[in-house]
Amino acid sequence: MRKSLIKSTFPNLTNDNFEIKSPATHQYNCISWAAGRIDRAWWPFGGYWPDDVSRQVTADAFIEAYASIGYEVTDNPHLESGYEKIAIYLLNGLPKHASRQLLNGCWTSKLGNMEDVDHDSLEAVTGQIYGDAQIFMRRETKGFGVTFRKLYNILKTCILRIFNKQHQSNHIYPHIITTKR
Amino acid sequence: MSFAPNPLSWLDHSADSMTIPSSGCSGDSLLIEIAIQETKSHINESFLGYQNQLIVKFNNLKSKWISETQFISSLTDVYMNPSYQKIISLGPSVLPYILHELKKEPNWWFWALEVLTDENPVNPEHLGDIQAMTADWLSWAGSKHYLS
Repeated sequence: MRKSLIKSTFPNLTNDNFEIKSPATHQYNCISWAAGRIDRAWWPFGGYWPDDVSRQVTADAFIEAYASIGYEVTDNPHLESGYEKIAIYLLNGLPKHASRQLLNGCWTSKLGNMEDVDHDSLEAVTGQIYGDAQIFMRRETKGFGVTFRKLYNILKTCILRIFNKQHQSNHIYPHIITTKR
Repeated sequence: MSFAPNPLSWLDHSADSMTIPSSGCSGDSLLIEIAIQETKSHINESFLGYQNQLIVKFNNLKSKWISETQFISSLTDVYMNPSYQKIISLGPSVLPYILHELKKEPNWWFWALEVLTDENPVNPEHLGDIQAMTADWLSWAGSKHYLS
């Protein structure tokens, strides 16, 4: 029954492209769910809002809010190794919803005061209520992904330094030799 | 659920304390007594009728608001919903019903409460935490004797 109600509200959802993942709750909303928080609802007006971020219902304020927890704007919603992504939905230029990308490339959304759902694409919940996904942000994933990435970066730096020293040596010696002459 | 005191309760006291002239015309005093009782009954009926109408109106608007905003994430849109605004326009007499609803099941009644009472007892650190915001408002309502 719940699934039918959700499908009737979001016409792009079908039996096959979404799944209810939690009970309905007022405790958090889509904005906090996308930020990975379930202790309170995020909203500039009447909700929790990160310190030093303007309490305005504008795309810029929402970008700032997510930037305060490490997200940066990116140009696409594609699955990218080492990063987690979120999408902000706008309707007539105003923020209405946010989704978070899962490790398998699907998306998770908290639907208002109702349930969390996993959906296979951003388009699945677009429409008259949330508008379209227009802003994409990403941040480095925590845990093993970050550790692996950091190790990779350290290793890359070491190799480059060694390579540069070798490269410089090849240039310096002829110069020194030339000078001695 | 405890409501605000009946605004017509003064009638009970005035009727009890009213002195009927003892002119020996017991028929007159009886007529006056009957007239007072009838007026009281009429006013009470009107008041109860008004209260019943208010409860029905409030419940209808509440159901519509919940149904229309259940999938909406924007608190701005939840508060600006026409049914929610109509509840606010019913005035402070709906305050006991809102507080009763809040006690029964937390929901985003906070803006309506703020407008109707011109108060905001919510600790800024509780913003967005519906349980904590509800507790702040219920504590305020208790201190103002809106709740038993």
